[in-house]
Amino acid sequence: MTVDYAPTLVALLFGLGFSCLFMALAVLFGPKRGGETKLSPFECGSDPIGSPRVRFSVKFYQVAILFLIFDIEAAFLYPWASQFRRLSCIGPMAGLSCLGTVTLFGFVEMLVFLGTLGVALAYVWRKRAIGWG
Amino acid sequence: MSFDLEDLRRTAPLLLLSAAGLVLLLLEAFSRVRLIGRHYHKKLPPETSEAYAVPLAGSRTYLMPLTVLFLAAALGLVVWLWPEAAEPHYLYRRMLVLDRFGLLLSGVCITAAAIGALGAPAYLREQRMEFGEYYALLLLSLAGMVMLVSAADLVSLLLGVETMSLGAYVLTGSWRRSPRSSEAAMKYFLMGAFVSAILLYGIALIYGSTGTTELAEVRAHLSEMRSAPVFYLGMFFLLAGLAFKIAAVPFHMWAPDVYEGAPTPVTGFMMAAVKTAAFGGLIRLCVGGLTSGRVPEVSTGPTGWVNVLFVLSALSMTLGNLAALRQENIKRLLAYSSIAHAGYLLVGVVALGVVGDAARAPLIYYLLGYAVTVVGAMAVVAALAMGPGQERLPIEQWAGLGQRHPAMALAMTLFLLSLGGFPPTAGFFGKFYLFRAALQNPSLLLLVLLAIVNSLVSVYYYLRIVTAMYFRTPQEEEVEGHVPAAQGALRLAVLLAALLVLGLGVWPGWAATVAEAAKLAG
Repeated sequence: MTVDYAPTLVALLFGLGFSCLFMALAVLFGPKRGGETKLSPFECGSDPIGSPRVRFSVKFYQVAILFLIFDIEAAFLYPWASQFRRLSCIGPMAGLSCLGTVTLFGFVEMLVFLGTLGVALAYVWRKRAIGWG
Repeated sequence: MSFDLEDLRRTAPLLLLSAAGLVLLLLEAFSRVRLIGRHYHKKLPPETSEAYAVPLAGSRTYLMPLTVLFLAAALGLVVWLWPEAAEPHYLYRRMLVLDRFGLLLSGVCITAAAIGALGAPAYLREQRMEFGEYYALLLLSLAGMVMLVSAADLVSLLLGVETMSLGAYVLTGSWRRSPRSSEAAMKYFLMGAFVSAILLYGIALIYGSTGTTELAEVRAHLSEMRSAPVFYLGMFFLLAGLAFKIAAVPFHMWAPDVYEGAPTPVTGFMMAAVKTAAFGGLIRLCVGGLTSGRVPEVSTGPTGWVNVLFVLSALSMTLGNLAALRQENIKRLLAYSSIAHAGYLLVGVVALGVVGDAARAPLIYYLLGYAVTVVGAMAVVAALAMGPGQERLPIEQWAGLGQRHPAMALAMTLFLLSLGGFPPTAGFFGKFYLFRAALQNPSLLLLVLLAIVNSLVSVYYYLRIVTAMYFRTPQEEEVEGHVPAAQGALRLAVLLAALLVLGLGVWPGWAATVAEAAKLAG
């Protein structure tokens, strides 16, 4: 049983290792140019310069909405992935292996969904909603 | 896990509409547009300004005929499936059902949308909002309606309502240069989102108390729900959500603003198709899920849905008509009239609970008659626009139209008479059948009397427009713009709607026979 968690442990080690590695690289090779301003202690709550109500470009809203839409669509892939074997199987299952016939049902269903999403992406693209210009 | 491939064939109209919506979306995206500068817009009213993309002159005129072609094909598929649907078939693991009731209401929605789409380009060009998304959204919204009227499960019911509404929200706001349109879309969307949450909450409560979302299963569990407060709460939430979609008082607040602010063809589409589909969903829910001969408490008991809809019906027709009496704007007037008609239609749903299946055919007939009438009336309003951004909305501007646009005035008179319930129009026989069916049970006498009194009151404001058109002279000589009535398709739409209204009124038999055959599953 415990051995089932070995991949998780490996992934964890990789994650830790890589972050440590990059921090170490930054310490070793990063330029160190300290000046008076950089080294001086800073405080919060000093008098603001100018109004905090900055006008954002309206383009941000478009990007935010598009991100939201496509991000949520991507979230639908997770439940599908977790049920993929069951969706593809007609008949009883033993653990993850199918004892009946394996079909393309789950695969085709997701293709239909992604195809629809692709149409939406093509539309957004052609309408120049993705570009910043 | 899988489903029968037969299911795909049996949902052919739904699949066709969805695919057609996507095709139109791509056509819109991949056809050429150009930016038109400020100088071009000197003639436009201040609410239209700046440069914006408009289609190249003469391009994309194929979008409307293509849409109508798709709709005709969908209608053909409905007819093709009709014989097969004599027996109900449950599809996709009992999420949807193919029966004649669902098919007929799908057909009504598609017909109304097709007539509306015929007239749309003339108006859209006039208001500088000719964008292909209009047709794509129309078709996708229709796909939601088809799903809604053939729902056999609360989940597919919600999905249908949502798909239908999302299209309607965007269409409402599609007149981007009009602040009113944006305001209407904002109101409709915010309230609609809230109502979706209420619907979902109701479904959750019903699932919590019965352990199922399938309508037939809910009905099978009714005997255990006799006095379960959570179940009743869920039922009330569902009724409130659908009452919002049909614009019944007290869930009607959005309707006048939205119907007024939306582009006129969209208003017609919403009044006709969205209302029909929402009524289809309501009937599915009430009759298919909440009526059982063994458990009459849930339908006709003191806290049953019949009583709820009884009150909603009485309120809707009374308040709708009283408010319509004082309207000076024709779109607002028809919006309040639409609320009143939701009240009359609710008489039919109440009768379905009390009298039983005998009220089904009259209700369907009324829905059909009302749908073609309002679509026609809105097409006339669109046809009589006086120029970019200037619609003929105040009733005093309708003075003298009998001489200036005799054909349009005649058609409008016909539609208004149908809305008021004069023979020989669809509206008269709709009301006649419906009230006669309701009177089979004496307990509905009061409601029917109220409906008749209300119909009489409504005649006043419908005839106000007619008298303005024929017996009043206009205050000043109006500037004749390039009136889009010259557009053949728009004329054809008005003609089709008028023929249907007259045909349903003069030969009511065939439609009544078809409606009689449109049996509900379960």
